[in-house]
Amino acid sequence: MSVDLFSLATSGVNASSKLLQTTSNNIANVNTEGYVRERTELKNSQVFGVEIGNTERIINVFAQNQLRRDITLVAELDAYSSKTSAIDNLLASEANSLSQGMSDYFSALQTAADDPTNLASREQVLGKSESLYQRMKTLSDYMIEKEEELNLEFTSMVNRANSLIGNIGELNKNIVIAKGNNTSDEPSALLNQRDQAIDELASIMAINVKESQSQNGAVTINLTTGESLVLDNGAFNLFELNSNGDATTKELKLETNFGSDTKGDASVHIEEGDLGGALGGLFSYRNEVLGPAMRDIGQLSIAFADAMNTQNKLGMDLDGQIGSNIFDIPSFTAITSETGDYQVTGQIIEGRASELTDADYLIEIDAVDLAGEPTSITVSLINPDGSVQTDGSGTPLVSNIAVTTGFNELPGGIEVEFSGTDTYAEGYQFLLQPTKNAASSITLASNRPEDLAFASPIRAQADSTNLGSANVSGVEVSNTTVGDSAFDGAGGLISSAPAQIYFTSEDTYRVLNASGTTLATVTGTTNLDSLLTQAGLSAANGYDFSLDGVPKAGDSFSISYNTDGFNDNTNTLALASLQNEPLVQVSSESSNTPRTFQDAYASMVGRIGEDTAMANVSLESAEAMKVQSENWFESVSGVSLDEEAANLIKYQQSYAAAARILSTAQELFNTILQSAR
Amino acid sequence: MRISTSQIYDQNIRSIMNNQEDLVKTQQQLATGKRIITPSDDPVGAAKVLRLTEEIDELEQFQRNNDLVTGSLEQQEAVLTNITNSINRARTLVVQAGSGILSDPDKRAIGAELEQIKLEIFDLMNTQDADGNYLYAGYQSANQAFTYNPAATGNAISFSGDAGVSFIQLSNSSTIQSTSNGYEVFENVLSRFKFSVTGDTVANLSNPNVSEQGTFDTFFNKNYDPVTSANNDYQITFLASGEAQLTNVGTGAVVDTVGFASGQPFTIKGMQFTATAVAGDTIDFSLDAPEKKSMAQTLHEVQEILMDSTIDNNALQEAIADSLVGLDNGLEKISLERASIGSRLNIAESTYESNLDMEIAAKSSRSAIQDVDYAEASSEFAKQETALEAALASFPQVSNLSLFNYI
Repeated sequence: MSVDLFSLATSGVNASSKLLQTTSNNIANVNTEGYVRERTELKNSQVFGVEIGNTERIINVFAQNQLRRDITLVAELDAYSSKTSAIDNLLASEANSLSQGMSDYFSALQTAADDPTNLASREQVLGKSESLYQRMKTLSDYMIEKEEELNLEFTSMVNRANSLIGNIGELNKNIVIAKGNNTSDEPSALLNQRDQAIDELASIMAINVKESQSQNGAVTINLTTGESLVLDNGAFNLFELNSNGDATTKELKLETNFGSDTKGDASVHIEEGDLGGALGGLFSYRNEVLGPAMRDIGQLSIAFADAMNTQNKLGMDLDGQIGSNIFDIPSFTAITSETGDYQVTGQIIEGRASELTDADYLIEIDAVDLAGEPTSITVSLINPDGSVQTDGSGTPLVSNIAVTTGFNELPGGIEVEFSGTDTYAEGYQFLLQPTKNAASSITLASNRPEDLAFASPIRAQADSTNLGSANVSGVEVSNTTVGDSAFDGAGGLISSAPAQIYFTSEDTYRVLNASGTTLATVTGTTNLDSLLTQAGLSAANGYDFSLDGVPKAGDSFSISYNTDGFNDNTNTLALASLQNEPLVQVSSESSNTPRTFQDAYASMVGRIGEDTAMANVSLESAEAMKVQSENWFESVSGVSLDEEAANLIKYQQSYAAAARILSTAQELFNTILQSAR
Repeated sequence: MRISTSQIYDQNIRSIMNNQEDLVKTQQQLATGKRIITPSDDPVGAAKVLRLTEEIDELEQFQRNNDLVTGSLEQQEAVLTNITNSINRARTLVVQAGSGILSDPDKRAIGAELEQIKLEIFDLMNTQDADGNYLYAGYQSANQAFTYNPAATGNAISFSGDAGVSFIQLSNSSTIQSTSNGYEVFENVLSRFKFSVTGDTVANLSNPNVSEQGTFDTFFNKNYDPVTSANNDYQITFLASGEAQLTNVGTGAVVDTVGFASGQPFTIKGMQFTATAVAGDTIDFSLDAPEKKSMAQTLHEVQEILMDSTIDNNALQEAIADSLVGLDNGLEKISLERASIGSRLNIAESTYESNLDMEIAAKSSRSAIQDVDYAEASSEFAKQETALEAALASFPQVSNLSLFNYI
C-alpha cells in the first residue's frame, strides 16, 4: 500500500495549524466575559494522515445549570438585602430615631408640668412635637421615595428581561440556522452570547433552561413556576407591569404570544413571591419590608397624634378654653379602578386610634339601593402584598357591614363615607390605605403655645366651713364635648350640671346643681371615690371627683369650672403619662394587648434589623455557594494560560514535525530523481 | 482540580475584598465605640437598646423633676420656719399683753409690734416662687393667695385662691405633691370654740365664759350640730335641789347637772357662770358656730383690741384667750404641714436614690449590649489586618507564576 507522504504531511501541518488556531483563540479570549474554552478534536484518517474533527466548546451542562440557580439566588438576596440595609441604616441614625423624639417630647411635657403657666416651656413642648413629626416625616418621605424608586426599577428590570427574552429567541433561530449550515463546527460565538443572555435573565428571575427536542441547538426557557418565556420555535412571551387600583403598587403579568391563529393569547398573573431573582427580591422587599414599615410608621404617627389630641381635649388651655386638637390627622381617600365620581373618604374616629392596625382595607360593594347608594359592603383587612389578614385562630378578617349615607364605622377605629355623586354598583372595589402615607401628612394644628391644655377644666374643693377632715383627692374629666357633656364651650358649665356635694351624714350625700336643686341623693356609700359616678351623674356630665378623709354632716364640696386655674398641671401629667400607656395596636387580633409608642417603634426597628440580618446571612451563604459553582464551571470551561502555553509549544512542535515530514518527502523525491538522472 | 486563569484572579480579588469589608466593619466599631452599628448587627439588642435608652431618658427627666420638687419644698419649708418663728414671738407678746400691770401705752406698743408681725406673716403667706406664681394660691397662681381688706365684714385677711395643689411625677409609679394650698395650711384653722348667752331670768349674771377650754372643746365637738341649728341651743335650769341642770333645748335631753350656790361661780362642761338665781331661773345660751381664721387674722383682731383703749379688761382677756388658742391651732397646722413637707422630701430623696440605681443599672446593661469590647475588637482588627496583608502580599506572587515567563 502506497503512502502519500506529501498529503500525509499536509494533513499534519493543517491539523497542527488548526490546533494552534484554537489555542490562540483561547489565549486571545482569556479575558472575554462568557467565553468558553474550545478544543479541536483530531481523528485518525482512514487513509493515513490526520483528519480535523469538530471544534467544540468544553462545557458541563450540570455545572452551568447549578451556576444559573446560584446566580438567581444571589441576585434575589442581593436585591433584597441591599434595599433592606438602606432602611436599616436609616433607622440606625440617632437623628432619625423616633424613640429619641418621643423621649424629648415627653421630657418637655414633664418640665412644663413644673410650671404650666410658663410660655417658654409650652413653646418647648410644641417645638419638640414638631421635631418629632419632622422625624416621622423624614422616615415616611424617605420610604415613599424608595417606593417610587422601586417602581422605576421594576420598570427597567422588566424591560431588560423582555429584551433578553427577545434576544434569546432571536439567537435560538440563528443557532438553528447556523447548525444546519455547518455541521462540523459549533456556532460557538452565538452559543456564548445566548448563554450570557440566559445568565443575565437568570439574575432577574428564576428560570429553567431545557434543550429543545425538536429544534437542534435551540433551548426553551420557563419560569420555575412553569410559565413559558421562550419557545423553541423562536416565539416568546413578554412581561407587563400594571397596577390594580393603587398606582404606586405594581403587579407583574405575562402576556402570551403563541403566534398562532387557532390559539388565543392570554394575560397570566405571576405570583410575585415565587418569582425569584432580582425582580423577586425587590417584590419581597416591597411586600415584606417597605410596605409594612411604611404602615407601621403611619400607624404609630396616627396613634400618637390621636392620643395627644384626645387628652388635650380633656383639659383647659391658657385661654381658659377647653383644649382642641394639637395635631391635624388628615382624612384619606380610597383608590379604585372604576372611572367616575366614586369617592370613598375614610377618617380616624377621634379617640379610637389605639384600635387602628397596619392593615389596608379592601371594600367591595355587596348591594346598593335604588338611588345607587351602597347598603352593604364586604370589608377585608389585607396585608401590603394584597393577601387577607387572619386572626389568631386563622380565620380571615373579612366582615359584612351594612352601611348608610354618612360615615360608617369599620373595624380598627376608622369610618368611611361613600360620598361620590355617581351611582355605585355591586362588585365595585375600593382600596383604603389609612396608614401608608399618614406619617408624611400629619401637621401641627396650632402654633400657639397657649393652646396646650395643661390644666384640668374642673376644680373641686372643700368649703371653708367644713368640720370634717375630708379633702378632694382627685378630679377626673372624661368628656368635654359641648352638647354631650356639662361643658358649655364658653368657659363654664351648664346650669344643670352638678356644682355641689352636700353630706347630710358621714355616708349620705346630695348632689346639687348651681341653683341648689338636688340632682341625686346617695345613701350608705362605703367609699368616697367617684362620687358623681355613684350618683349616676358622671357619664352625662363628663367629670367626676373623689375624696379622702372623713366628712362630717354639714360638710359640702363645690365643683366648678377651673376659671383662671392656669397653674393646674393635672392634664399635663395625664399627657405625660401617655408615654407608658399601651396605645398602639399590635395586630388585627383585637384581643391583643396594645403596646406603648416607644415599644412599638423598638419592635419595628428590631423587625427590620432581623430582616436585614437574615437577608445578609442568607446572601453570604448564597454567595459562598455561587463561588463553589463558579469554580466548578470555571474549572471545566475557563481558559488556563499555562495549559494553553503548554499546548502552544506542543502544537508548534507537531507543526514543525509535520513540516519535517514534508521536507523529508521532498528529499526522498529528490533522491529518486537524482538516482534516475 | 483544573484551575483556570480567571479563577486565580477572582479568588485573590475576592479574599482581598472580604478582608477589607471585615476590616472596615471592625474599624467602624472601634471608631464609634459601639458594637451595634446598624440594627441588623443585633436586632434584638438594637430594640433592647431603644427601650433602655427610653428608660434612661425618662429616669433623667424624673431626676430633673426631683430637683425641682426638692427646691420648691425647701422654699416652702423656709417660709413655714419663718412663720413659726414670728408666731412664737407674737405669742410671747400676746401673753405679755395679758398681764394686768401694763399701761395703755405699753399695750399700744405691743399692738404696734403685733401689727408688724401680722404684716410679715401676711407677706409670707403670699410668697411667690421664682416664676412669680403665688405659692399658696392654688391653681389661680397669678392672683394673690391672701387678700387684706380691713373694711370687710368677717375676716379682714382671707384666702382668695383655690384648693388646687400640683403633683410632679418622680418615677413611673409615684407622683408627689409639690405645692400646698393656702387654705389647708393657713386658713383652715379653727378659732376658739365659744358660746353666747341668749337670754336669762337670773339676777346678776356676770361674765359667763369658758374656763376649762379642753372640757368645753370636747363637749362642743361632740354636740355641735351644723345641720340643725336648734340643737345648738341649751338651757341651764336652776333646780330646787340646789343644782343647775343643763338641757339641750332642741332635743330636750338633759346633758349634765352640777351643784350650785347662788352668787358663787359654777362650772358646767367647762363653762363658768356666776349668777344670783333662785329655783326655776334659767339661762339660755347657744354654741357659737365654729370660725376659721388664719393666724394673721387672729393677730389682726388682738392687735386692734390692744390698740383700743376703751376695751375693758374682761373683753381683753377674752380676746387674748381667743388669739392664744388661734395661734396654737395655727402652729399645729403649720407643724403638720412641715412634717408633711419633711416626709415628702424624704420620699423625694429615696426616690432619687432608687432612680439613680435604676439609671446606673439601665446604663450598664445598655453598655453591655451596644458598646464594643475594645480588647476583643482590637485583637480582631489586628487579626484581620494580618489576613489582608497576607492576601495583598500573596496576590502578585501567585499571578506572576506563568509558563509564558519561561518560553
